[in-house]
Amino acid sequence: MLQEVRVVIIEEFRFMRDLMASVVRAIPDFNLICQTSSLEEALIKLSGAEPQVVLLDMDMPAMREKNAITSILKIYPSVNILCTSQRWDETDVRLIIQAGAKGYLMKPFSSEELLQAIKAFEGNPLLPVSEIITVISPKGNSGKTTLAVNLALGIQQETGHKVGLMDADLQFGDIPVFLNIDPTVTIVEANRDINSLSPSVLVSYLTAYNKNIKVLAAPRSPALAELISTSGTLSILKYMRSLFRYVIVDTASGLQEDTIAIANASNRVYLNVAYNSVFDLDHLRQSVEFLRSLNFPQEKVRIVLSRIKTRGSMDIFNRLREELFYPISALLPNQFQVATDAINGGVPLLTAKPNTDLALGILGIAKDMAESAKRSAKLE
Amino acid sequence: MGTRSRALVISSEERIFLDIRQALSNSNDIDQCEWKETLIAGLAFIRQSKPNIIFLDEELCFPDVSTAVKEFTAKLPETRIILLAQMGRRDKIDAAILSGAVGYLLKPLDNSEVEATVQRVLANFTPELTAPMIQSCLTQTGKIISTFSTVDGVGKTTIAVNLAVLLAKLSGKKICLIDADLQFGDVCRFLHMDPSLTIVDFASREAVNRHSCREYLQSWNELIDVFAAPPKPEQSSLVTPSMIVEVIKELACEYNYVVIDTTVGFTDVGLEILELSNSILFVNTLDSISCVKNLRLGMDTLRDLKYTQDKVHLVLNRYKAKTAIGIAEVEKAINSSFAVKIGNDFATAAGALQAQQPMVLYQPDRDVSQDILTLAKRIVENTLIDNPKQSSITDRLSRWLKG
Repeated sequence: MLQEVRVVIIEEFRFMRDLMASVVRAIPDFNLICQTSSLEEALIKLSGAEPQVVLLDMDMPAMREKNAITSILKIYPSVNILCTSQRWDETDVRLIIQAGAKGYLMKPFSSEELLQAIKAFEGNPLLPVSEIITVISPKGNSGKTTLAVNLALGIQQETGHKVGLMDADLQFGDIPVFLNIDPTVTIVEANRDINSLSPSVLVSYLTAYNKNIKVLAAPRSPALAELISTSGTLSILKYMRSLFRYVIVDTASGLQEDTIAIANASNRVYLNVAYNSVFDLDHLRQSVEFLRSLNFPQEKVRIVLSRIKTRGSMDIFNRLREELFYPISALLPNQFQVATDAINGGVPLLTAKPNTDLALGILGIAKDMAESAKRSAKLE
Repeated sequence: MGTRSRALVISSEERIFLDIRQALSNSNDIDQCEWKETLIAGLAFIRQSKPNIIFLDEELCFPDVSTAVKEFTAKLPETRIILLAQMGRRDKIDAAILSGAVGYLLKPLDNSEVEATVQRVLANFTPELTAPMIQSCLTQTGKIISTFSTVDGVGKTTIAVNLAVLLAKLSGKKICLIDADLQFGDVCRFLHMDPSLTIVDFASREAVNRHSCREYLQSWNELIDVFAAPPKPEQSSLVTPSMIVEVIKELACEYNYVVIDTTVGFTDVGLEILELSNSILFVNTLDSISCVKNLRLGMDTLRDLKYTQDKVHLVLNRYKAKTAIGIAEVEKAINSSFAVKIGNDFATAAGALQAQQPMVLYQPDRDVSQDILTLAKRIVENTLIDNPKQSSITDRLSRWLKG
């Protein structure tokens, strides 16, 4: 339950300021204690008022020059600063978040959006550092979605951070089946509202699997997938990244343009190929060559071979390790029935059958990922 | 009843003459069929007799097809010339049509085609319509059959490859197989081919020097002609939707059956293929709930595209596999039944790969091969729409397939 929320508005333009004021006043329990266009005036008026929320106009050059966020936080360290702007700029957001602001809101906004933004940063502060982990596969039926879903669970489990799961298999996304969830909103709606979206508002487009894992679902039908452009997907991905420490993306099979674009925007790419026949090795080699030709760096891509039937083929893998440019991160066994049962049961493998070799294999990848993320966070 | 027509065959091969005479023996339109072995003898013959139709073998044309055809049309404007051409000599066919020939037949001749072409020529021909005739010659006669799926790994390519091989064996007609799974197409891997030319070579040909796409096909054991997928995934974008339309339309004029393997899901190129297909074989397995979900999404989308039931045929692959999902339940849920069911047999599939042969040739007696044979027969007999005939295939046919 919210107590009285004391709000300050710092906004350059009179009309916008009045508009915001009326939005704030319309919310029960919200108390507007100050509206001004000057940082100095706000700081003076705030003394003793103990505001909880400051809406700060980031379109005012003065606010940037004077490091407004830092100045406010110096005096009121526990205040929640929500930056407002007419346009969404990812670099801006990172700087703002790094400086200590809690969120970013597009102007103008409704009472509802403001409430959502506040709710979002209460439980889900925007994050300065985040990792996008994308699973790609030249051919389907390799266990790509099994890998993506269980990586999300594994990374959540290992790090304790909240994880976002984005289903970018736009025509035939299977994540809701795997997690037995029934999304009422999907990426279609998020994409439609993209221009008026701010990251905190994106939360309302996600479907919760549990408290710590949220899903942005794929369109409900293949025809709707057409509505979502590559640039739309990338913008949504940026929003996802500012909400979660880890974002896992499942993609359509094949290495089509949008999948490559997502992989490009990711910190880590798992190239998942089944090892069922010699054909699969050809697909693997072709994929590696393709990614190399696109200058995907060696440290970004990891190979995950799945559905391996023969344990005795280590020779092949040792040779592959030498031959393929990217490191092999895991060899997952072909536990087809176990994987299928998990899908049909709607309970992911890591929960349903955590002690199977397949589950342990995926958990191993998650552990490695968590470790390397920790290392790189330290470096930053 | 109108007056009956006379035909003249100009060819050095007696067999061709006999074939044509045989084909026309039941015709009510033709009452006389003559044979001349050389171009000069043919030209001499038409001075006294006035045949209504001339079958002109491209090999005898001198100095070239165009001149020879013009020679005949100048002397006998009302006569209709049908060129007898070798497969793959589209240049000669085009030259003949542009010079006034009204049709062509490919060697070796097919009785029913001879009859059909003669009927068409006698029924339709008016000299002013020569230009549109070129078009009509280029309208498709072949059946276009595509394999489609919304999930990978369900046997789409296996079915396409084995079906193409069986169609060739069963019908004895001209079959081509297009690998339109443009990023990671496996058709050539299934057939153990290492094609020197692929669809990419066709795509990147110089526009000024436009070749027919047929020159880029590769023969497999002289049974089927294969249009190979690009060797590299990044080359897939070179094949545009309009190009694939051009390719399919051209090949459907030349081949009796054009079998096309597609990329999973609905792609721009794939949608063009589905549109042009006479039959879409929508391949599925019932491994998991997500398979069924994607089957339903695929069906809904195909219905939204207004494809009718006689165009879309649901194929259930590995139908004897033990799964948690019942066939009847699924059929009820999607309000459609599986028109074709194909058994599961990993051992045969794996053995065929090892033996570097398509499954239906490697072990034609196995259930899975027989199921694909049934499918091929239904396509040849045009009974795909009806309920599957449960009659077993005769031993004779199996023996013949082995041979």
